[in-house]
Amino acid sequence: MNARRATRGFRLVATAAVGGALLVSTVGTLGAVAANSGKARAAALVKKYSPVPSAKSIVGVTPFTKRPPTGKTIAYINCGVAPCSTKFSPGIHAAAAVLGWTAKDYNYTPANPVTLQSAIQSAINDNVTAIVATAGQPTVTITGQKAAKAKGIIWINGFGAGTWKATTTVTAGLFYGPVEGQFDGTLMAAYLAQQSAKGPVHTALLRVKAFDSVHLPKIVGLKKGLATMCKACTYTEITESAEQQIGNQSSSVVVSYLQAHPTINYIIFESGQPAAGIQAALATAGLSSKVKVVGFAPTDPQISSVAKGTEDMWVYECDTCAGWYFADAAALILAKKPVTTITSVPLPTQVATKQSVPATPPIPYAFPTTSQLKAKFSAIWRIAS
Amino acid sequence: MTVDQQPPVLVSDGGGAGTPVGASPHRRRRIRLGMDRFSGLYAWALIIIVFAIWTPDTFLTTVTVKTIASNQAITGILAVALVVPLAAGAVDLSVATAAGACSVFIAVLQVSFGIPTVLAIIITLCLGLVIGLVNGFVVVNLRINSFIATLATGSLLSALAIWMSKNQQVQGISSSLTKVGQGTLAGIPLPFVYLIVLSAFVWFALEHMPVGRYLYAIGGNPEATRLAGMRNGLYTRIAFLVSGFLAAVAGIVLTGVIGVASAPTAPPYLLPAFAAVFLGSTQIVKGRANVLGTLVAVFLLGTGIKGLELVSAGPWVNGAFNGIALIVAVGLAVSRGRGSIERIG
Repeated sequence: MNARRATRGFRLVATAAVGGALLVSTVGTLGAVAANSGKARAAALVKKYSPVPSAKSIVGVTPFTKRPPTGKTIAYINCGVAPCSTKFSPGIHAAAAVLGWTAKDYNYTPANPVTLQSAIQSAINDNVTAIVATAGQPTVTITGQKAAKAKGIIWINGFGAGTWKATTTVTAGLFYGPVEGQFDGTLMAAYLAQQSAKGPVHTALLRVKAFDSVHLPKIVGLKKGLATMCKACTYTEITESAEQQIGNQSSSVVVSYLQAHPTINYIIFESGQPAAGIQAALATAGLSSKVKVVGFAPTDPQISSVAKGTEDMWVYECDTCAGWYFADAAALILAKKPVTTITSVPLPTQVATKQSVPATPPIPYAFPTTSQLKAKFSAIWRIAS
Repeated sequence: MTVDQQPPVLVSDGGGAGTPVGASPHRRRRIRLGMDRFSGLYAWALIIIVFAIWTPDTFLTTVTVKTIASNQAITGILAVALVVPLAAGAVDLSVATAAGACSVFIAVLQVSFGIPTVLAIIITLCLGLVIGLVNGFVVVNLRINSFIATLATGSLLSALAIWMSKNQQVQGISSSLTKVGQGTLAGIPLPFVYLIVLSAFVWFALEHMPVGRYLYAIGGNPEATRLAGMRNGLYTRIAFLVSGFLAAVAGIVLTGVIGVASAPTAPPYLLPAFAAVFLGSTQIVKGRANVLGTLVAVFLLGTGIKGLELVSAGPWVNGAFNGIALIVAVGLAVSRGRGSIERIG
């Protein structure tokens, strides 16, 4: 009797041990498969978006059956700083010229909301055909949107999160909402996942919460991407105020954080402008060889630094193309066509590394080029080149 | 000679040493620690000790010293620029925007006109002198209060910077100009070297040359100097010329450090510079703006801010620290009831 019990007990223990071993190995295998698939996905994404964007990167546009009407006016509520004045506005003006429209900027000062409302009202008073605003969330300009709608003026928001709704006269949330921003974050995560094969990746992102309306989707995409493609990668944030960033204290803030957290080896910038001076600050602190600089929306100096190898990678996106998309949206609405597809595709984007950018990058770094955009959109708009 | 500087009246007590009038003959000898003149140094030492204990691995390093020296250099140059007109009883609120305008100007000279670095620096320094001339004209000839006058010229300079830069970052400066801001001399960041050299010149001029004495005299009692036949207007103009020149230096260095130029970068330096000057007026030569006290204050504030950044205190640190320093400094100066700080404008 005792022998039977002992044997039975032994069998139970053995079965449990074997079952446990099988379970652990299955989970481990599945985890390894997931990790490998995550890394494979990361590699595929980086490979796909490494080449310089061309006209083929312009997707999600609807060919017209006939040329849009000429003689229209498109107004851009211009914040006066990059990328409003450096990318969006030139794109809108170039597109308008091809369409045979007039493009006009109505400038405002971001620090003064009154000037925003004044700029919008001026555009409405001028009876323009369409107004493009990239002033943050659509709720900021709701009064202007209603006034524009009352006068039959098309309204296009360059930012917006949440549900997008369109009517024939009002659109909302075309770009820099969940799709565009999160896609950029995913690309960043893919690149970092790839780098993790060379060693640990411990990141810190410099964040200004006041600018979350623009950058939060990138952070969301980055964190989600790291969770699926690089579980071993770590992510932290360095919080800085808008005043510190405008006052060019970002480098000092970053260096102090890196001193306090010596394991960090990747510093991520939400945009290129705050990164000005970071190389000098890292060199002074003796951190140039230890910490790699990556980020979103680079300015030309960052692309030059990437080409030289002093900065690691920037997610370049064709902000100028956004201007062309805005004008295209206005033309579609005039033709009473839907604009849904534009909101679901990202702008032409590149994972800009030393290997993928030209050895001597052109200034400005703009791909697709203006001539490529002109040819592409002329074909879409049925305009003879 | 002020009341504090007069020697105490001594009465011989037979012991040979003498005792101050009214003091107990059995009073212990006090050890003078110089708290009235060197409290900033003691505060600086205290800050270093606090952070050395709080975060020893990261604070007590050569990296910390280098970054403080580099980060505070531009603030220091602007603070020294403020000292000169303050010595003459005037305030120059335009130094930061002047630095911003000059920062953009030199970048535009290089990027848009291809002007070589040395020539661009000379032209930009001349712009600084022109700014000083304009300030001097508005204050002396138009007899507008310096606070209001330089507030106005500062606004104009801000507009000028935005216009020149087209409200964008001006990119593409030469590597030689970048080296001006990012280079080192025997491992010491060059901006810090510029600060020390310029401060030495200004200190010597203010403390050991007639022009310095005249400026302080005008700042101390302009009516008396006028009645004594001094050319108050001339020296006030000189003061603004110097502050404009130093603001231009700060702007050039700023562009070199960052590698690009943009209009909004320099104006936020104004508050830290003023905080340093006013805090410095309570040090070394108390009761008046002075170079040595200003330098102590610049690095005291920089050390405190750096220490708080290292312990991840948050983005509110800079503003809070500078604001508190300004209140404490002005409060101390007002409570003493003397000095050119009270007679600003």
